Amino acid sequence: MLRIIPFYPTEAKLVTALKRGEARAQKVVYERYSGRMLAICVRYVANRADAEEVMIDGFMKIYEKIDQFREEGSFEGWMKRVMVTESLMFLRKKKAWRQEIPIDEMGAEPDYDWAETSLESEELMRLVNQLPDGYRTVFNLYAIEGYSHAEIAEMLKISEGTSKSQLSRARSLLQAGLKKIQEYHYEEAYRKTAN
Amino acid sequence: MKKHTEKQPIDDLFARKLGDMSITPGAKSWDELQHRLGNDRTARIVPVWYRYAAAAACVVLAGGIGWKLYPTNETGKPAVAVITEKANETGITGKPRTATSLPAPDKMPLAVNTGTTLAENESGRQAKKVADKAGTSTEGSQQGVIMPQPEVTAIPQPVKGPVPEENKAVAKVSIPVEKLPAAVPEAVKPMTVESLKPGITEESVERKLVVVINTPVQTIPKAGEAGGIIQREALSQQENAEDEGLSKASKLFKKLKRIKSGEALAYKGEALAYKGEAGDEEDAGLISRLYGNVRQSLETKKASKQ
Repeated sequence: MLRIIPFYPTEAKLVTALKRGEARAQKVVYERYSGRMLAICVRYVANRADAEEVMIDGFMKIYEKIDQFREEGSFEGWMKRVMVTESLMFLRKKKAWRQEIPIDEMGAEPDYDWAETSLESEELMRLVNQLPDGYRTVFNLYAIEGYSHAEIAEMLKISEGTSKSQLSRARSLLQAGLKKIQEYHYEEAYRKTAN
Repeated sequence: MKKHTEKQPIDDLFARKLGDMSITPGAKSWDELQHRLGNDRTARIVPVWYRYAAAAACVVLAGGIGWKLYPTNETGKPAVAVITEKANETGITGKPRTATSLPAPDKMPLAVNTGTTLAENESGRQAKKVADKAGTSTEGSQQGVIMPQPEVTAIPQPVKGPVPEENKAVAKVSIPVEKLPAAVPEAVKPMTVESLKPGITEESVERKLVVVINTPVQTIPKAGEAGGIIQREALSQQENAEDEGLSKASKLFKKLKRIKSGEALAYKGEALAYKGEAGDEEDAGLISRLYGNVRQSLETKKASKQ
């Protein structure tokens, strides 16, 4: 990393080199952003192997469609959108978000402060990955990417009501999962103190 | 994409924790990506292949050059030695003749006898006259090279006084050749030194060393002093006669070529000039002798004109 950064000290120069089709710039982009892009893909696809395939497809799109980047926003934001789109395309092939899963009962609210400090990102990622594809997709788009229900409905070719209902079901499942994790940690801490 | 004004805590928790999360992809992902791009295998591996190929080519070239040069150096050495002989035959006095005369035991007693005769004959002479003799002695040596030894005694007298004496010395030398082989090794070195002493001072010895570098035409009249030159001329005459008549002597010269490498270095430049012409040792010797004869004839003409 440190060796390559001097070649493209700014994002604009990197984008310019990418538009010229320089192989070195392509590698720099991959080395610099592949970790975050793969995390996005894993969050949507939920399977590591599939996520890496999606990420590769996303980078291919980035290299091929770099001329479409207007440089109005950040390059990383544009790349994230490309990765999300690729993930959605992967899920669309599975017709994931059209699956209807029975709703579990809404559990009690977890302790978010505890979760913020005690839970690692990997545990939260595991919770998200356990969600059904439709719930997970809408939750990712709405809660993390920040899309509105109208945008999500347009992107997924679903109604806004479906988007809202799937979001609420996703939240319920995540809250239940967080609560279970929290209870497990409390029990472990109690056992340690009792012994 | 709009940010939501009202964000639930669970959304905020996952957004903060997972928004900037990074997962390092496997090493195969980049290879797969490069494979899809189609610029990995050719762009990376080929240059490496070229580098190895270039390194191998350099090694092969170095080996080939070394293979070519090694035998040429071996063949070049005898050519150098032949030319040094030629230089000696032409009358270059600067060379330490003891080195060349040592291998041929038949020649060494000649030097002894000539040294003694010269010491007797030169007792009443002056240094200037000796210098004049040197110019004429070259004529004797040249004739000795061209003609067989018995004719040396018939060298024309009108040149100057010292010339017949030199020839006499040569004639006297030819007789004891058969007698002396036993006394050769001990007698050679001291006698040559003694023979040089009466006519040659320390300054003249220094001049001889300088003459080694110069051509024989210029050096002979300057450095040809006393019996040293006469002795060498006698040696060169008999060497020439014996080289032409005896094949054994040529074999001995071939053996000596390696020993005389030190002398050969002094004439390396000339040797290289003849290197291309003489592919064989014998050819090189003939060419060098012919060249020396022609050169001496020119020198004699110049001397006669002067």
